[in-house]
Formats: sequence, structure tokens, C-alpha cells
Amino acid sequence: MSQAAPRPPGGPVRSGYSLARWRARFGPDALVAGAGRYGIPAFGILVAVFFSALRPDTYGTLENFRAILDTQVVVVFVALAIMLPMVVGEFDLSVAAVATLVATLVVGLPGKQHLGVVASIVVALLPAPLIGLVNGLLVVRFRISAFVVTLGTSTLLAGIWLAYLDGKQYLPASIPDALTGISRDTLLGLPRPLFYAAITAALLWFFFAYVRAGRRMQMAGSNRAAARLVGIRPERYLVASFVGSALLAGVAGLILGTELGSIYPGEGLSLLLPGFAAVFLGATTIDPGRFNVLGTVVAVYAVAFLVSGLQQLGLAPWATPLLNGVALLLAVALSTLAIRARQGRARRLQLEILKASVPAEGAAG
Amino acid sequence: MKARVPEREAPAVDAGPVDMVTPASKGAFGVRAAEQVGRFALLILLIACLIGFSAVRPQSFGTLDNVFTILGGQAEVVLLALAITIPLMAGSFDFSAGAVVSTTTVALLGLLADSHLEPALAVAAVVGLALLIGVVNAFLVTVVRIHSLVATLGTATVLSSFWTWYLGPHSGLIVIPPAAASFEALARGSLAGVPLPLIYIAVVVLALELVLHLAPVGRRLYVAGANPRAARLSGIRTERYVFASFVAAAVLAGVAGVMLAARHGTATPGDGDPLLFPAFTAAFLGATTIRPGRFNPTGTAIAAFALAVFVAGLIAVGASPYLQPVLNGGALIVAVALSAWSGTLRISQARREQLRALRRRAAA
Repeated sequence: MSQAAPRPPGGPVRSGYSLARWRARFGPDALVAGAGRYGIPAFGILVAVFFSALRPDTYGTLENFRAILDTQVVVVFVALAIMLPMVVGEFDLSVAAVATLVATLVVGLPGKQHLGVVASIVVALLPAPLIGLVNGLLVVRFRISAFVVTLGTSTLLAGIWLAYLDGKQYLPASIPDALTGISRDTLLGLPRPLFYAAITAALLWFFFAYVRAGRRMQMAGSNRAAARLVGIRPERYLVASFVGSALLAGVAGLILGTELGSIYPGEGLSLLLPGFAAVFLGATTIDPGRFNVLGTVVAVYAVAFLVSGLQQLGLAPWATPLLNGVALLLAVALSTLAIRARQGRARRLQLEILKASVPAEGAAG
Repeated sequence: MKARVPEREAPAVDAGPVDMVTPASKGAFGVRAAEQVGRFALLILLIACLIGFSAVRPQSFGTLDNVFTILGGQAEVVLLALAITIPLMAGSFDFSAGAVVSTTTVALLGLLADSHLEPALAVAAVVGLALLIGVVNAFLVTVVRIHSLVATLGTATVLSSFWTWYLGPHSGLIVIPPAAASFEALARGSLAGVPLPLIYIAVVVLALELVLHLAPVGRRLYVAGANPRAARLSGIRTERYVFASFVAAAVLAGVAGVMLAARHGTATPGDGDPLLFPAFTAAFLGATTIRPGRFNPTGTAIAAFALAVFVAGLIAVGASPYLQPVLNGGALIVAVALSAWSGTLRISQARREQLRALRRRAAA
């Protein structure tokens, strides 16, 4: 690196350079890398096909896939909420707590405070961006690690819903249909939450791929000092990512609460682990080595297809966390190895390019 | 801190350094006093709460029994907090500690109730199990090089399926068998009037301080955590220290699990999970006291106890019990923010003093 590498001039260098590039694109290494990139989606599809063939009447039905897709929407939202600050390089542990608080409020407000449907939704969602803003500002202003801040806010929020529910399950006498309809109604024959998830994922993907702010957010995450040097203010993107994360978590809570129709204290906290698992698993696929939207969504569903299939074969419920945990560990281990291998390849490629350019330099001089 | 350097050095030929001493040390006095107060704030809070609430509620709060009950009730949280403090010192998170507690309680009561093992043997077996989990964590973090938070999140998830599986046929609950009831004395007994759990904690804190603060091992652990690259360059094999810290954390978490099983006499799914966040709170809060800016065992224990006494006192005075999580979370944020803020203040004050001294020298 520090060695002043001669710039590859035109002519003879190109042949060596393009050969290396050709190999990088279509050589055996590239095939392995491609298998890694699309391994998880391919695995998900294989699992779905395999179990459909094995249990055509129960698994391989449109009804079953609709159910799997629908029930995982909350996990998708939680995972995307965790992913946003991860892109900027910070952990957010308060995501599940925010979702739980919103779910508690949306179930409780119509019955306890006699609020209308729209008012309930607005009041329930309102705390979410505020909590995100507080998280972000605390991290930026006081330079506390986000891990500590969000640990604190999620502990604090638990007290709020405990006090609101008086520590016990709340089963409303009646809940407005318009409210439960948010997650239980269908649109074009598909459950509504699927559309929420699809639209959100598409928007986020577009944001990170094509919007300047999204690109800068990724840059702020990958190298904060470099980002600052090129005039990006990482702090802004950090605060924005926490607000966005809390909003997504709030939507997850909204869907969870309206789907359940009742709530007990802390329901929703268990979403944190599967959410983190999906985010890290997602970082090994589609765009390996980076936290990415499509990878995260694919990871949620690949695991869900597998778990659902195994459950239909008579797998005990306790095996679900086992699968989740093993999938997470394997995925991260594999992605770490893949990243190391990729770095090795890149170094070798660079060396080849350098070697190709050196005699050319000699010929030119 | 900065002022000490010129003080110790012999006065140089140039009058400059001597000039620098006076204003710097004068200015530093206020800062140092504030630092000392900040350093012992949690200890002061703990003592003030004990005295204050005892004065307000002499019958219900101000009894030695009550104080011991409050402190003893925190035994598992404190042990768990001490456990996770060790990897935190080495710059790693152990998120599986709560799951290790849950696993050891289930495994221990399972061995006692289903396998009718001798209590001593069963305890040894589950602590061994905890050690094994620690080795797996350490392997994942140091050899496979997975981020510690992710690795331990993974093992925690895997462990949770163990107790769901084991407790399934027991309909989710194992009770200590009468034959092994003597085992409960481990947590319920007392020595010279002091409950045993408090004595264990004192022993653990003392041992950790000896090893981690006074012995070179602990210094190297700190360096490995503070700056792994610098540590490696100065010849410290950081992986070994991180490895050992995870094993030690798991063993201590296992001990916390044994305590929990002995105190409750039952095991239910996920017993240890609710302890994890309070334990992290205590560890982070503890890093603002005694040796501010560093995770330290004494600070961790004091933080856990101060919070417990504060909350118990407020509840004795009539506050809602749901206040506990709010106070825990609020205290964590406020304490860490304050200590971060005072750190920045200290640096800027030192800079200002340095600037003033330079100006004076330039004028002279």
C-alpha cells in the first residue's frame, strides 16, 4: 500500500489487467463467491420445494405460504429496525421494547382511554420516534455507546408498560374491527401486513441503493473518520438511523398488537433475538459483508420456511430456538470466513495486476 | 493528572515548567474534588439511602434483617454482573450469561430431582457445564472470530432450547426434591448473622480485585480490552485473555445459577433471562464509580446494591413497584451520560490550563 505503485499505463498492461478481471468475474473463485451470495435465498427456495414435495397437502399449499409470510412480517419489521443503526455501526437493543410499548398502547388505548381508532394509532405510535430521537441524541451528544443507551431506554420502557397494564395481561372487552383490520384484513387475497412489509423493504432498498442520504449513511457506518473528512456529518445520520429504527419498531408493534388483540406485559421482547439473527444472517447474503435490506428479508423467510417445515414433520417447539441459534452462528462464521477469503483473493488479484504492470513500465521507460 | 508530570520532574533550567505547576494544580483542585465526589457518588447514594429510608421507616425498613433481605435478594444479579464485567474489561460482551443461569438452574434441579445425584456432585457437574459453555463462547469469539455480541446471542438462543426441551415433560417446573433440601442452605444459611450469599459476593469481589486489579494478569486484560492492537504490539496475546474472560464469566454465571436454584428451590423456563439487563446496568453503572471510566468489580457490586436499596426504599415509602425498571434504566443513562460529560469537561479544562500556562510563558 505504502509502496508507490506505478500507475498502469495503457497498452500492454491492459491485457494482464483484463485477464485478471475476467478471472475475477467468471473464474472458479467467482463461482464460489456467487454461491455464497445467493446461498441463503437458494437454500430457502430448496427448503420450500423439498417440504412441499414431502407434505403437499399441508405444507405445499398457498394457504400455508400465506400464513408463513404473514406471521413473519413483525420479525421483518423488527429486523429492519435493528438493521438501520447497524448500517451506521451502532447496536440498538431498544427495538423490541419500543415494539412492545406500541403494541401495549394500541391494544390498551381504545378500551382504557376510550380513544377512537385513528387517535389510538397516532397516540400509540407517537412515543416511537421520540424514543429514537432521545436514543440518537444521547449517543451523539454525550458520546455514550449506543449499546448502553438503548439498554437503559429499554429497561425504562418496561416500567412504563408494566405500570400501564398494572403488571397483568390486558384483554379488552371489545376491540374496534377497524383496528384489528390493520393486520387481519386482506388485500387482493393477501394479508395486509405483507404489503406493509413489501413496501417498506422496497423503499428502504431504494433508499440505500439510490438515494444520496442512504449512500452517505452507509459511508458514515463503514468509516466514520473518512466520512467526516469528505464532509459527511456522521452524527446526523446516526440520529436519523435511530429515529427510523424506532419508527420501524413502532410499526412492528402496531402490527403485533392489532394481530393479537390482547397483550401481556413484555409480549414482543422475544422478537429481539430472531431479529438480530436475521440481520446478521442477512449480512452474509445478496450483498455479503454488508448489512442489507434484501438479505435481511430473505434471511427471515429462509429460516421461517425451514422451521415451519420441520414443525410439520413433528419437530418439537423447543427446536425452533436451536435452529435459529445454529443458523446465526453458522451464518456469521461462514461470512467471516468468506470475508477473509475475499480479502485474500483481492490481495492476490492486486499482486497480479502489479506484476503485470511492472514489466510494462520497464518497456515504456 | 496532567499537573503531576511537571511536579515530579526536577525543575528544569527554564523557569517554564515551574510556572506551569502553580496554576495547573490550583485549577485542578476543584476538578479533583469534584472527581472524588463523582467517584464515590454511588457509595454515598447507597449509604444515604440506607440511613434516610431507615429514618423514615424505622420499623419496616430500618432493620438489619430487612437490609440483609434486600441485599441478599440481589445476590444473583450481583454475581451475574460481576461475571459479565470480566469480558467487558476485555472489550467483549457476554450476552449468554442470563441463559447460562437458566441452563444451570434447570440442569441442577434436574440432576437433583430426576437423577437423584448428591447435591455436591450436582453442583460440581453444573459448574462444569457452565465452564464448557464458556469455552464454546470463547472459541467462537477468539478462534472463529465472530463478534462477541453475536456469538453469545447465538449460544444463548441455542441454550434456551435446552431448558424448553428439558422442562417440557415437567410441565415447565422442577421443584427441589425433599432428599436434597439441605442444598438450599447454600443460599438460605448465614454466617455470623450475615447471609451466605453476601459472603460469597464479598469473596468473589475480593478475588476479582486481587486478580484483575492488583495482579499483572488484570492489567493485561484491561490493555487487551482498551486497545487490542497496542496490546498485541507490546507482546500480550489478547486472544488468550479474551478466551479466559469468557470462561471465567460463564463459571461465575453458573455459580449465580446455583444460587438462584438454591434460593428459589424451583426451576422454570428462562429463570435467568430477566437478570441479564439489570446485570449489564450494574456493570455499566459500576464503571462510573471507584475507578471511573473502567469496568471494575467493586464498582459493579456497589452499583447493583445502591440501585436495589434505592428502589426498595422508595417502595417502602409507598412508590409503585413498577418504578424499579424506570429507575434502573434512568439511572444507567444519567450516570453514564454524567461520567462521559465530566470526562469531556476534564479534558477541556486541562486544555484551557495548558493554554493559559503557555500564554503566560510567552508573555514572560
